[in-house]
Amino acid sequence: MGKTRILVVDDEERLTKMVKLNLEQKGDYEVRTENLSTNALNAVREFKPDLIILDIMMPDLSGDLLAQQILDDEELNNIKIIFLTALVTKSETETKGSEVAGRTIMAKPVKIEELITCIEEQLES
Amino acid sequence: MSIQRNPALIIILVVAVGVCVSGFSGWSVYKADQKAIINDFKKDVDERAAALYREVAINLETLHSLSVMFSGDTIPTFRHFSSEAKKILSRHHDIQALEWIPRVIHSERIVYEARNRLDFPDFHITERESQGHMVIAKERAEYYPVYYIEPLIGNEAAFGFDLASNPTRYETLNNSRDYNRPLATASIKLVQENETQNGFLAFLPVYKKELSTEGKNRSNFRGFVLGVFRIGDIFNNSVLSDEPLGMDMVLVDETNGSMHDTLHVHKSRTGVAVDEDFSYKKELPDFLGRKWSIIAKPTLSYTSDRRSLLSGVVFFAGIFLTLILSFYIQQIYKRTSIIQQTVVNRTRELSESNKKLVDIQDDLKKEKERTDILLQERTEELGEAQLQLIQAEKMETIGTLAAGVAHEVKNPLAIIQLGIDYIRKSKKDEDVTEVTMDMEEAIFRADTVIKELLDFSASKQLKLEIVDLNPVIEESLLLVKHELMKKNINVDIEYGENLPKVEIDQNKIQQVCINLLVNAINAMDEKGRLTIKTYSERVEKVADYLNLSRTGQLLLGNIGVVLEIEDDGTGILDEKLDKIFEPFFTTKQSGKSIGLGLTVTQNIIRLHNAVLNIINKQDGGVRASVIFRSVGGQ
Repeated sequence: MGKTRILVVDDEERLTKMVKLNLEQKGDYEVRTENLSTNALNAVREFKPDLIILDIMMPDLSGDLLAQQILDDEELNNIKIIFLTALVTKSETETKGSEVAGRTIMAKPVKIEELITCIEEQLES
Repeated sequence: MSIQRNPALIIILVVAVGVCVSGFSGWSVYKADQKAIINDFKKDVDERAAALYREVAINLETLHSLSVMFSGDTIPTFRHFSSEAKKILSRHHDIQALEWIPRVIHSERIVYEARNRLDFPDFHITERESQGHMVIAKERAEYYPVYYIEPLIGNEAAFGFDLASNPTRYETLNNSRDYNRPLATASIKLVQENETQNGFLAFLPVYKKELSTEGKNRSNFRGFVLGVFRIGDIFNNSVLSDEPLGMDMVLVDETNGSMHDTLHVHKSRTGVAVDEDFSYKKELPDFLGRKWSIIAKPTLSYTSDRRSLLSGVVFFAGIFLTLILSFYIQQIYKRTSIIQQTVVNRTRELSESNKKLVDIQDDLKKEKERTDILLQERTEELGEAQLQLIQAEKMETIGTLAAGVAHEVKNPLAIIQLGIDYIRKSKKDEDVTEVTMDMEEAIFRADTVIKELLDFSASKQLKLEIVDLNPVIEESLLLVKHELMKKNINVDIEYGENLPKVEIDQNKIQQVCINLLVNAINAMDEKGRLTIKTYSERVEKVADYLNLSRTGQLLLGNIGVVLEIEDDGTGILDEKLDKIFEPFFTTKQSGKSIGLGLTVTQNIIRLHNAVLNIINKQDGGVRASVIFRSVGGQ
């Protein structure tokens, strides 16, 4: 079985880089980053990730709309999505669970262990 | 009982006055009428009196014509006298007899008697004895015998009668003789007549030739021509020649004063009874020494014939007018009564409408009270809405700000965190582990600040707690520490010790403190001085000290807990000081604030029943004071 393909979409380039470094350091993941949300859909089609780590507040196209487009595409709608956003606080994700409005959501700043745990949970489900 | 309210009384009064006036008017006219009648009557009587006098005068003239016969040198004979007298008598029927009465001195008596006896053998000079019988006259110095008499028949008794035998008559005759004055006697009964009537005697002294002195009178005196006049006939001839006037007349002789001698009584030929209420006396001119008067009374027909109907007309016209006036007054009263009734009805209607108006007023008042209550409720709702607005506003400003800040801070924090994770795995070294742990701690603290900032902006109900004020201020100061440091501002803090506790929503009071602190910081230049002070004092003293115009919800007598925040900035322009609590007012440059800060602050203060006072200090800068109610601080 090949490596899990993960696409990280965030307008913050340094953040996507750090996520990529951390996940690839673990060795189980093939990570691709995308900093322009408008390019993200093409990247998804091209890269065909198993899971997308998606920021919400991005210029041009927000993460939730992008997620909607992905889910609307029959070829792509089985891809798992984890929102990683500064819009929520840890206390909120902890009390309300990782699910917010039917989406798995994680608050920034996030520790890599917590993120990997979440990725594994998503992939197993 | 009021006259105005009793029309019957008025009408009776009017009728009474009307009758009185009518009566008086009628009576006045009657009196005037009566006066006119009386004047007419007097005039009539006067005319009668004049006619009578004229008749008497005419009769007396006969004596003068007869006397001529005796003033000559010779005395006429009886026959001659008789012939002349008859002529006169035939023309004057009111003369009963004419006589010649010579003066006979005693020595001539026999001659006189003898001369007459030629024709009348029984002739004697006679006198009346005490029983009334005629006897031959006694001897005396002189005699005035009836010597000639015409007609003799019927007057035989008087023939020869000596007038001097009666002393009174004798004196009268002597007076007449001495003063050459014809005289008349009082009335005498003319018994010889068929019908008894009164008469009088008139003497005319006769002298020989012209005489002027008494002495000569006596010597030249011849005697008297005497006429016996029938008063009734004289009266009738003079007075009754005209149409009957309808009056009774009495001719009286008043020569002897009050001793009335009735000469003649005339009853009205109309046969109507006299009006006894009125009589009129007309005195005739003095003649032959007599004073005659006519006393006349009109008959009822005399007055009634002359009386006009005017008085009656006036009276009845007055009564008629009175009745019309009464009727008119009654009509007026009736109309007035109708009007009054109408007024009463209108007044009642007005009163009813007034009552309705009062009811409506009451309803309106109740409605107003209800509206007031409603308004109060709405005001309370508005207060709540305002609170919600504060929350919404907070969401809009601080919330949005916080979210933005959080987002911007959280991304770097996330990068750092992920960087730490990577380094920690890449190089497992004790120092690295320690450094990364410190870094993680820093990330946590930063994340906590952001979290609290977001919590602070989260919508919450007013959550009152009884707490000390000072720690709340301390926390607020922490939140603006960055701002203070950025401007290098010195902070003097003077917390009051053992302050009474206050019942506040800590988050909101923190918001207030932050707002006031931020305002103060913004007002100051670099290295400014911020002074924060808390203390407790009686509300009155605080109000006095801070020169508060109102104490708001603060209870007088209570202990207030005061927070003062002073800056040494530029202060607020006086004309803007009144507006600082108005929404969207700001002294900051545009873009730095949306201008809701002090409005929100003021609302929060009011929700806490506290008072916020912001003034310019004398020595520059602004002092903001918040006075809280203390809990249990009496």
